[in-house]
Amino acid sequence: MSTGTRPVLVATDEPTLALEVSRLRPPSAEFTVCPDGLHCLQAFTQAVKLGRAPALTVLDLSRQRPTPWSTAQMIRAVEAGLGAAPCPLLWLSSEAATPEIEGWLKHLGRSVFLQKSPALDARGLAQTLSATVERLVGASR
Amino acid sequence: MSDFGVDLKVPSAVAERCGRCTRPQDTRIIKDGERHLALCALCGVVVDASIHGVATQIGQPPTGRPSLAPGVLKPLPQQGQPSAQMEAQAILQSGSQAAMRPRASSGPLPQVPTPAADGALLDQVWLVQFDELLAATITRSFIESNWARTVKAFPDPGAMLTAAVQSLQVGRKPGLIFMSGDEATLDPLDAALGLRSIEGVWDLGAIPLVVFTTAPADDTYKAALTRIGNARYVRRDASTSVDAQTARLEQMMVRLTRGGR
Repeated sequence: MSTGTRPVLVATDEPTLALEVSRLRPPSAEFTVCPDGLHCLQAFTQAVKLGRAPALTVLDLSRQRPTPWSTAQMIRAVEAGLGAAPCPLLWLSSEAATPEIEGWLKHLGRSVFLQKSPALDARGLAQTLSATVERLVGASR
Repeated sequence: MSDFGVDLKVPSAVAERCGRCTRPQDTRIIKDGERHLALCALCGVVVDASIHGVATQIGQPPTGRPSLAPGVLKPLPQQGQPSAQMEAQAILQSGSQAAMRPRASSGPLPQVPTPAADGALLDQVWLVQFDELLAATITRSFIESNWARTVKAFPDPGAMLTAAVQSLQVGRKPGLIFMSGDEATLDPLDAALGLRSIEGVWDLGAIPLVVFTTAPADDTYKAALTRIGNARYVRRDASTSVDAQTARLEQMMVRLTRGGR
């Protein structure tokens, strides 16, 4: 990890977005891209175990097993087991937030929901994500 | 019994430090006349010559096992000498274990040792998302049957995962998890997949899992269990009594231990 950067996990099952995100080099964050919720959970657990809890975890997952909701809950369970503070979660979805999703976010705590703009391609979305992460992570340094 | 097995491997009694391996290893136990030998599952060295009764309090961690008897540890087998595993096999073939039950029809069952009369087969069994009465009944049955030294109940899969992380962090894990497959805040099958991911961080092997559910055993469900690995499925008829449901899980334990009670 570069000096001064903080680890950020990005779980996305969209290969093109994963590729674009992996090319990004924002000044405050170092992205680790995971193809699904299980890899994200394992990477998260490993990072916390090593005392390098992610500054932010981005969940851009479809509803396939494990769902983003399950993944987020399991992240919280791991944090509780290892005595780590809750990691901020950034949810990305092409759909608008429903009352159900808002309920999940409230239950999880420290969670933000962003709807993806249909006008953005993968590169545009990655750059928007990078700027958002930079704003969130950079501001918390 | 309607169930579905996917290469379920139940470790034997307790993770021991065998003296040759660098970290606690699961052991397998065999009977040698009046003695019970605990063999390191990794290298086959005898780590304990007998299983002593340990007072068990439900919900409390085990108080620890007696220290190894002097002279029990054996060196690693040299080339040309019979290994402890070979010795164990010879004992098994000599007839003391000849009454083992035949293999179940739903797939290969693991070779689980016969529990000692004065010891427990597994250190810990975890129950996840069982109602209190059923959990208490199962706990009493498993303790009295010496299948487990400790039975812990967790209200939901998330609490189980938290406990699993804490346990793995100190190099331990339960011998078996029974998890209700009924709908929960955290989907049980997602939690099972998550458990496998988390286990990978510590590399202590997959904890055997039995899902006890009212869901139909369709191909999708079986595929999910196959993906989880080291998992079994037991149909649960929620309309039956607590005793009947407990008997169902006892049946599963008998099958896993090959009737070794």
